Amino acid sequence: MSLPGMCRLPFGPESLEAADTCVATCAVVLEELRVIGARTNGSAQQALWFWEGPHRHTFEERRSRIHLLLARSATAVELAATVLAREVAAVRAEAAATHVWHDGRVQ
Amino acid sequence: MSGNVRCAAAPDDLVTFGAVTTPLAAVLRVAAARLVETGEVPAGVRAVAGAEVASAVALLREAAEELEAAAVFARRVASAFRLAASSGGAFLDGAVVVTGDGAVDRGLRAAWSPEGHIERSPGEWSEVLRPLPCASTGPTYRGNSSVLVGPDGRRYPLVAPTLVGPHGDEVNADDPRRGSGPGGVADLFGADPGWEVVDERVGVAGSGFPTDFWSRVLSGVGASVVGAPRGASDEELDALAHDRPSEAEVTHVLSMPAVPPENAGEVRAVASGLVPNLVQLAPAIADGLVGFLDGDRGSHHGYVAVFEQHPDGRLRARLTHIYVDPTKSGAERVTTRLVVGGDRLAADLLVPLPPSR
Repeated sequence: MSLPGMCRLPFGPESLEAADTCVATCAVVLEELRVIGARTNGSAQQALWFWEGPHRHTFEERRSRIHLLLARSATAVELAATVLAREVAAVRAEAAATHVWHDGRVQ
Repeated sequence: MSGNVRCAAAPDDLVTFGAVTTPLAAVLRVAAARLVETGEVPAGVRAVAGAEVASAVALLREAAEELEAAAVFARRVASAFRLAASSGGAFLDGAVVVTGDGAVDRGLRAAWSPEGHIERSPGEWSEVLRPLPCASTGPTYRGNSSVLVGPDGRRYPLVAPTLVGPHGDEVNADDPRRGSGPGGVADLFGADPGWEVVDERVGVAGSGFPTDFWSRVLSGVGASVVGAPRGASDEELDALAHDRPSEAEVTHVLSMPAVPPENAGEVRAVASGLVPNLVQLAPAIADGLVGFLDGDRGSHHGYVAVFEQHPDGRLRARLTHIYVDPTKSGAERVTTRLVVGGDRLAADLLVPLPPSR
C-alpha cells in the first residue's frame, strides 16, 4: 500500500527508529526556539528601556531580524518534522498491513 | 554634551543582553548540530526530509550568528557610552549615561588593541582583586600586578583565574601542567561563576585590523563552550544563562592540528577532552592566521581580550594570545597562551611564534 504519487523508500525498523529520533529532536528544538525567543525578547526590552539615539534604531533592527529568523527556523523545523512523521506513519501502516517491512524484510 | 542628537543608555543593561543571549546562541548551534546528526546523517531520514532539515539547520545557524552579532553590538555600544562618561562629556544619572551621538560614535569607531594598554599597577591590582569579606572563600587570582585599560577607559586587572573544580580542587588557569586534559582547566566549565562579560576584543596583534573573521571567533569564544544540552527547559536555559562557562576556557598552552573546516569533525575527534571552544575554533583560527603566516612568516599573532565585571563591583580581564605554528608535515598547530602582565606581553611581541613543540 502506497500513498498516491508517493515513492516509498526502503524503510526498515532501524530507519523508522532514526526517523522517530529526528521527529523527537525537532519537537525539542521547537520548544527551545520558543524559550530562546521569549528570553531574547525580554532581555532586549530591558536593554531598550533607557536607550535613546540612533544606535537604538540599529539595535531594534537587529532584534527584528532575530525575531524573524527564529520564527522562520521554527517553521522550517516544524515542516521537517511534519514531512518525516507523515512518511513514517505511512510506512508503518503499510508494514502493519502486509507484515513486510519496506526494505523487503518479513516481520 | 557632544553631538547634536541626545543619546542615553544603561550600559549594564546592554551588557546583560549580551550575557543572556550569547549562551542562547550556543543553544541554537547545538540544536542545529543535533538536527544534522539525526536528520542528515541517517540515509533513510535524509532521503525523506533531507532538504527540509537542511533548510532548518541553515536558519538555526543564521539565527545564532545574528544573536551573537547583536550581543557584540550591544557590548560595543555599552563600552562607547562608558568611554563617553569617563571622558567628561557625559552626565551620569545613576546607571544611565546621557551624552551626544558624536561621543558614542567616537567610542564605537575607536580602535583598540592590547598594545600600549597594559600597565604595571601593583597597588591597584591587589586592591581591586582583594577578596571581599563576604566572599573570603571565593576563587583567587594570579597575575603580574598589571592592569589592562579597556576600550571603555576602565582599568581591568589582568588575571589568570584560579578555578575551583567540581571536587573542590583548585587549578591555576596558567599552570601548564593542568591547562588541558582530564582534571585540568578544560574540565571546569563554569567553575568560576558570577563574572559577566562586558566586552570582548579579538584581533591580530601587529596588523591593527580586526576582521569579520575575528569577530566570528570572538562570538565563538563565549558561545561554544556550553556543551550539548539535550533539550533545555526554562530552568535549564536559565541556569545556562547565569552560569555562563566562559571563565573556564582559559588554557595555558593547547596544541592541536589545524585542518580545513570541512574536516572540523576530525579535529574534534582528535582533540577530544580538550577545551570545547578551542576545539571548535581551532580550524577557523588557523585559517585566519595562515594568511598572515604566508605573507609575513608569522610576524603576527591573534589575541582575545575578555573584559568582565562582577556584581560586587570588581573588574578583571583575561588576555589570550593565539599562535599558529607550522609543522614539518605542512599542517599548522594552534597554540594559545594566557598573558598575565606587561613584561610577558612585550616578550611575546618580540618573539612572533613560539618554537615548534
